[in-house]
Amino acid sequence: MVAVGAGRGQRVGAYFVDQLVIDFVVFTPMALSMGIEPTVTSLKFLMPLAMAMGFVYWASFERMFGQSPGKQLFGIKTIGDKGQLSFAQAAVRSMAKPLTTILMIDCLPLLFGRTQRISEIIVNTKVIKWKG
Amino acid sequence: MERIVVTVVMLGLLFGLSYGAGMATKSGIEIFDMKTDVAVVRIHGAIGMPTGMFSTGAITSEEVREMIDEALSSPMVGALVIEVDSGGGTAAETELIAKEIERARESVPVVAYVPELAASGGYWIASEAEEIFVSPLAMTGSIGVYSQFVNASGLYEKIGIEMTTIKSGEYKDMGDPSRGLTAEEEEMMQELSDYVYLQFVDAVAENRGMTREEMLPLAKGAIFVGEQNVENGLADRVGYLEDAVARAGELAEIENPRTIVIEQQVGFEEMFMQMSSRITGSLLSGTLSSGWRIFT
Repeated sequence: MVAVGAGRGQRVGAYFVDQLVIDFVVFTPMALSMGIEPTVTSLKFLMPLAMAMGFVYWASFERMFGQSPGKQLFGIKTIGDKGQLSFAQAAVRSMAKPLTTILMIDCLPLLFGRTQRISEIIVNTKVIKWKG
Repeated sequence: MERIVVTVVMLGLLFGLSYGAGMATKSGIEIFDMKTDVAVVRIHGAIGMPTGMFSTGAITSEEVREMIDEALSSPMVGALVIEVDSGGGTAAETELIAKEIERARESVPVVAYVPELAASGGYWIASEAEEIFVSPLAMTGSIGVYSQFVNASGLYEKIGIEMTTIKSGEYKDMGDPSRGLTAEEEEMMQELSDYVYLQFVDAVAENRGMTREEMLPLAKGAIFVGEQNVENGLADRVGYLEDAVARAGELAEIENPRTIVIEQQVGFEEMFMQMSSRITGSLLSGTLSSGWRIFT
């Protein structure tokens, strides 16, 4: 059976759901524990920490299941050349995501009809439709 | 099912890890005293007054408290600059705001910066800071108080309005626009005004390291500009916001402080109320009811 590539809408939807989840489980508890409201711009220490936790979120879910919670919701999955993602593949894929600017560059091929981000081409992974 | 359980457990772990990381960071900042920021708290507008036709918005002690609390909640804020741009307002609310600045000084150094105007109650607030910077053409002073009562009895008569007042308590309807003040009532208000005036004078005198006698000649309601304020002791230096921030950083031993700005948030409802009060001419209604307020 040939795997069908995930649609762009599904991928974008999954990304936004994951961002919401990250806001809830990473940004909010971090800001609360530091005793500042999320609107106060004391981000010097908060941002790098939050980005690191965001990386842990993406990499751990994709390594374990090939699916972040957002991907689970939208019925898509990431697969590697050997099926389950290796740690290196999950890590490289996840590196761009916490940084919006780099993610936008990473996603450029998707705007030109390709089905893989630059990082996905590098580590040979793809996102497919999945009803697990 | 197993996947859902693992997902929930993972999210819980991430939540706990993030919370712990935040606490560790905060502790680290406090232990190693890594203060890097100076917060600029903007106290702009009339103090404690309802918005009127020419008002650009009012600021209250509650709003100032919220802004100061927000600034001090960051573990990296080591000093405050209060940017005061106000022509004053009600005496009671001014005193409450002054208390908030005094409370802030228990935690961090506070420097005041006046970009344009800190008159009357605005000056009282600014004087609570350890030092005052004024821009070259900024105006401060107007130390004094007043209250006004409108006698609209003539107008009422002209337009055929007759007021009947039933009262219990001789002075209960004092200040009602349907009549003027009696001589006795005027004397009472003058005593009140003098009392508040001396509270004002004593507060700013103490803040500026002067005696009442030294402050009184400067407390006749006159306005002073720029360098005049430094010469007469009402301010410390002529400068700009960056100078005030640098000085606040010095007092807090922060090199090259980063500035964060905290300002009053005007919600949609308040904006709408301000607009409608301008349209309906609440200046008149505000004036008619203003007598019971003493203004700085």
